[in-house]
Amino acid sequence: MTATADTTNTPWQLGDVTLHSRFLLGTAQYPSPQVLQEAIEASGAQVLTLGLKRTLAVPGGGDNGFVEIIRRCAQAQGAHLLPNTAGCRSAREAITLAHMARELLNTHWIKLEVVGDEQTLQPDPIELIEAARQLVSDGFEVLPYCTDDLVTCLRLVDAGCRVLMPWGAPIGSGLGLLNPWALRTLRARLPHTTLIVDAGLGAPSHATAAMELGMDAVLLNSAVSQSGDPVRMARAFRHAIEGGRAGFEAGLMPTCDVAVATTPVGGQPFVLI
Amino acid sequence: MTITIQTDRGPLELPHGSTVAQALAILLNEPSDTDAMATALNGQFVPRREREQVLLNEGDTLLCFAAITGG
Repeated sequence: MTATADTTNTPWQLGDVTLHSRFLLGTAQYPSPQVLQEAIEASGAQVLTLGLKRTLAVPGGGDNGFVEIIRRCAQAQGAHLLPNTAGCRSAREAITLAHMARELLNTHWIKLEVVGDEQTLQPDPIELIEAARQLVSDGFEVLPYCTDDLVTCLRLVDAGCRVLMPWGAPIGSGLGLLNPWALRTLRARLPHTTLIVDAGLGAPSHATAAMELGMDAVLLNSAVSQSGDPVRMARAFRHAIEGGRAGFEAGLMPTCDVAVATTPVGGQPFVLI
Repeated sequence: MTITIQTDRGPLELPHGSTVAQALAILLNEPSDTDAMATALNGQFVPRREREQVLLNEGDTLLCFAAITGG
């Protein structure tokens, strides 16, 4: 069964591609290729992320068949590969890695990562914008991993990015959405930009919350791969994402600071009016 | 006359006038591995189609990258 046939999500655009699943799945740190394969299938994801590494540096530095599994799953599931520039600390490094990824994986999509702080792995906005501008002019569809800072996001759009990937929280933290206000602001100020919450999600409810804010999709890895049962967790996130999106499309009720009675009893049941 | 370049497998001595493709033929175990590797010379991407033409110089750093799992 393909992801397309098995989803209740409404179609959406990522670059020039129409997708049905709003779940982008990272492929790192799974206990085995078999578990990764089953997690991908359970997720229904139509975008799978990959990295690049200097494998000659490590004797026997192969990947134990993980990449082959990813390629096979992508083909079977109609999924697209999204390479990243993880590990880069400068625009120059990220640009070089992006070009290598395009040659290796035959895709012009790039998840642009340029880290500016070692403890938080927070993106460096200066280097990120510089790299984005160059890569867009080199023909890439640039998906920058960024913070939720509005001005940085505006500059990335100015640089030609049609998609932004603001963090929910630092990579691998599992803290969820630290600043829903900022994400809500991004949605309001960038209504025509594709917004994908990337990083920091730890629980399916975090993904639901992101989707209810009107994000177009979520990308996550550790919350699934580090779960006690990655396959089951992938399925849980899939349902959470679909539920959150359906809720957003249905329209959440307005919130109110005081109680509003729901049962139409017309006052107090034993008091004469 | 020879040159020495730096690689992830240590210094590599090559004849003067060697190309990226010739260095890769020594570094990689199987000829088919060259398609599974992307190359950077002194931090600059060298496309696969240019490996036969790009000449190496004394002290160059040649690095090879492959796809791995990633988030």
